Amino acid sequence: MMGLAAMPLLAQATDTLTRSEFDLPENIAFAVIAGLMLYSAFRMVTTGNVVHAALYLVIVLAASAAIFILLGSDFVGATQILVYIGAIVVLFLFGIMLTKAQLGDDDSVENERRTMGALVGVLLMVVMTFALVDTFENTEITFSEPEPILYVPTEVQVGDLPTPVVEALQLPADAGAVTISQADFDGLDPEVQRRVPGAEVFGNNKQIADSIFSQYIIPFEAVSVLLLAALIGAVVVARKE
Amino acid sequence: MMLNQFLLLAAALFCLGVYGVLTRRNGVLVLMSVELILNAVNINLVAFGAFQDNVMGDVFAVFVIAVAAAEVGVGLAMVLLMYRNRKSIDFSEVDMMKG
Repeated sequence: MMGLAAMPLLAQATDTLTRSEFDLPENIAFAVIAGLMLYSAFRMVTTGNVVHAALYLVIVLAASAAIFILLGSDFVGATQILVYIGAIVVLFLFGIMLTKAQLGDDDSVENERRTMGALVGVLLMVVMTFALVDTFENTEITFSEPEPILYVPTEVQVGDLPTPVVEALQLPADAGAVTISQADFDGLDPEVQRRVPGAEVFGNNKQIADSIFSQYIIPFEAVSVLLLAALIGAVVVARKE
Repeated sequence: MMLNQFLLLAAALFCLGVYGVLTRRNGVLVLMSVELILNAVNINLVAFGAFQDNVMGDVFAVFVIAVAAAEVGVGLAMVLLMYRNRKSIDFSEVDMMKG
């Protein structure tokens, strides 16, 4: 009886295994990034040196940008690098320098707080792990098949075309202006198609732009007002009398 | 890829951030730990966005990044003001709600 009851479970498990084989490279990348990220985050909250903490923060932020790109959100990954690593970390370093925060040893993490903090953190982790494993046990992220790349035939100079396109279409170098027809375009490899002038750029950037400037226009405007208010507020608060 | 591997990574990052907020006394380090927490939320948003195959998660992650930038600006200004007034940025010393 037990064996019979276990059959569907076993089938499910092996099914997951074979499907996971396909994204083995992704999983290796994930493991490397996640390991680096968690190690750096741990060092960040435990190190005594304030500047080292800021530098570990850079690694954590870069790793999470890599996670975003792994999930196919290249726009968010790029924004993360620009805004976080480019601006916020620099702001933190300025903060550290301006406050002359005990640059060497922090010496502030006393034992009692550390035990309580670790207790709270571990408890929170246990609760969340239970909830997540219980809810999303075998949920997989499936990436949809990329849609055919849209193409508007345009006249281009052969000299301006990228080399892979010229080679794939076997265009003579002295052909001058040519128009690549839709039929020729369809015959190309998707990687080459993207480099043809007039082809739609890949990724979901267009959809993100569309939804920010139509569906989420009011939150977008609110965020811009918030940034302005924060800027003015920061100047007012930090200004010398 | 499983959805859970991203959610658990974000949960671990969140807990490390909470640990940092609770144990650190240096104001700048507390703000850095808050950034860890916000980043964990962003990973969740993007993972659920990829799972549901729409861009809503990405859009909200971008909004969260913008709000985090504003938060750091104001927070560091306050830490700076505190340093100027008290010559210390120890958060455990600011326990009086007086002007």
